[in-house]
Amino acid sequence: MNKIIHILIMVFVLQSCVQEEENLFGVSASERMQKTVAEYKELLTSPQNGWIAEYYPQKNHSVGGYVMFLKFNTAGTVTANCEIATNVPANTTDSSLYDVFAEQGPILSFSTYNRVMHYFSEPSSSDVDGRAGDYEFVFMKVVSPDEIHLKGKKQGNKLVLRKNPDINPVVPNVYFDGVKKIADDVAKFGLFRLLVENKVIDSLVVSDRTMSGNSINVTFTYTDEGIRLYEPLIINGVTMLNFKWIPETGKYECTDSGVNAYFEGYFSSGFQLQYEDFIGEWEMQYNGRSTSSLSTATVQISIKQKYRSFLLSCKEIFSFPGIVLTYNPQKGTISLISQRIEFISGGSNNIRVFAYGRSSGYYSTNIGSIGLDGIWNNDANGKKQITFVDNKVWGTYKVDGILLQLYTDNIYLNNFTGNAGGHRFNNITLTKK
Amino acid sequence: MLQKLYVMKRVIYLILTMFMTVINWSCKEDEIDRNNSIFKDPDPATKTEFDKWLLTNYTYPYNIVLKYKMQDIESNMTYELAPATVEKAIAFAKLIKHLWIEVFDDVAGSNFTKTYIPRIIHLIGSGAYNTNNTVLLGTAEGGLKITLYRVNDLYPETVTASLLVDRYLKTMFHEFAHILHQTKNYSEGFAKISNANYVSDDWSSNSNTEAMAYELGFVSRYSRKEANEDFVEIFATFVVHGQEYWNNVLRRAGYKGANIITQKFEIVQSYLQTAWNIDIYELRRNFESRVASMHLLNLKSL
Repeated sequence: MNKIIHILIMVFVLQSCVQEEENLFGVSASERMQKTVAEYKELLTSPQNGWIAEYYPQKNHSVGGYVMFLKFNTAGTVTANCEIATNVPANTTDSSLYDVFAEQGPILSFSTYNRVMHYFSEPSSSDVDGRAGDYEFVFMKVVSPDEIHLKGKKQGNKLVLRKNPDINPVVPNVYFDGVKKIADDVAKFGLFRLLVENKVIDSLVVSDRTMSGNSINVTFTYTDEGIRLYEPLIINGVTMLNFKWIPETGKYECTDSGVNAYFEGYFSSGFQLQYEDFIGEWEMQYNGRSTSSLSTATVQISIKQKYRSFLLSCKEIFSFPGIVLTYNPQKGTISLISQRIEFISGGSNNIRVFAYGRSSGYYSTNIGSIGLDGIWNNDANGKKQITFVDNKVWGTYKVDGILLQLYTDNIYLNNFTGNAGGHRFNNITLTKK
Repeated sequence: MLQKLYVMKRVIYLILTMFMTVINWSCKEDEIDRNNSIFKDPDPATKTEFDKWLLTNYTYPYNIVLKYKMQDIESNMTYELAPATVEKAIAFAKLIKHLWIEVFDDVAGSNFTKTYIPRIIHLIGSGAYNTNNTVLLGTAEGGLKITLYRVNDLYPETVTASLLVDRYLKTMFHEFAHILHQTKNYSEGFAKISNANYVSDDWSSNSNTEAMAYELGFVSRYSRKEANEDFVEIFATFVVHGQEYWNNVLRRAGYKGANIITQKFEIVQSYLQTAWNIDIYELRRNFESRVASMHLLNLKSL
């Protein structure tokens, strides 16, 4: 019995009050969190001209950054404007609601639909991840009242807000025009060399706001005067972030103080032709209805998107505006890839240009990758000539031409012959007139 | 000996009482900080007209939170999603109230609706797309929350009841019926009728066709999952799809299948009547009359 009593006493003594812990801070955790939320809200709404944002959607910032103008209002609305959100007319803004609230830390949420902001997170049946954009962001770092770094909760997107100055603020449309001008200008180069203190560090291939080489891989955002990298690039102790585009020299020069470094556009040794060389009138030769004799037609090659693509039109044969040729600025070559052309008349009607192998008799209904590459003859026999050969993407069968079909939406209607008398075009060569 | 034990007992009680007292006064708990909850109502400064409308039309009368602002933690994290626009959310809020909540109000009373209706309705602007070319339109979790997708695809000018039924209302009536049978059981006889033909997750396999489901005495393929699903599918199909659709199901089910469906329907009907005092025919009539008056709703503004 004594034992029981002892045990009882022990139990109660041990269980009884543990020393209260002192609050480390003067106020409770939830109170502090609320205060932080209020502070962040105040911070977001304070710049009278809003923020110039740099936004990197996609996982691991795989497609580079975009400039966006954001203005947060105290009434809980946010106005956004971005250079590439193509679901709104160029340079227009959209407004929606935003929230700042507390989870494990303060969160900025774009909580109702904004055509600009959610352009990046809009999924579809063909692209279930959309552009892998975020809509809830964790406040990571307030560098100063003029610069805030946030990180997307779901995809890890980076969002940097920099204050648009109170005096002489940046005008979005002027800024975007500057961005576009640079982006169009630099598209001339598919290859860049990085030089730090006049030493070549790496050769890089450009693709969708990224440059990748053997040892270096950078993602960037276009600014109105050049580019800013996703994160500082450090080579041999030299730290680089901001670059200015110098069109005369074809260089991005680093503008960070005390740094001597630049990315320099160049053409490789196997480079064929400049973009401008393709523009003009050409004679097209091809096997049409007859495989034994060649047909000819005059075609026009014109600018579609400068340094990126052309339109090949032929009034003798087709009434539609033309077939798109892709320009490769790394090699100086053109390609004719399978494609869908929206017909002007007849609403849902469209023309499909399919890769076709007359030797095998098969064609592929692929759109966007199988097709033909143009090979330049080095002006042999004094004439500029391009021959179209298999781009070897299909593999299963040899591609030696194209074939045109008329569709309504996704339903095949018939072969599209135009005025050529046939829908097949094989062994195509172009000779500059 | 006995007496000693008695004394001991008293001593133990004494000690117990002593320590209890000690515990009671020594452990001073921290006050709960009621003024600084991190789960706070929206800042009154940013409360919109729609927020106020929702309070009067959803929260106060039905204790329902209609979340039109998308929140990650409330949504399915595996999908990339875009939120709803405020305009579309307003249209939805009005449609749901008219075609779902108020149907139960009319037929079973507002107390019934308030008690059993799911507590959270979360609106999402985009669809939730799967890589196998399917898209999620509506989901429900444990009778507590209903999530509706593709809200931004709704156009007030052209919206039809059949589109709403196919995408959302069928699911919503279906889920509500789950809450009812989870609260009060239906008779055991129901599950025995089609016991041999429930196939669990195989209901969607290619070999289990819709025609087969009908002939076996089910109103949909999904009904074959298990008895509870069968039960609520009968309820939802009967109420939202109308008599013509129902007749068509019975016709396609053939004599034998139709017999089974009717047998099960009678259990559903009598369950609703006895357990909840709901006349399923009246419920359907009410729903249909509300569909007919749907065009009178102002879906474009509050």
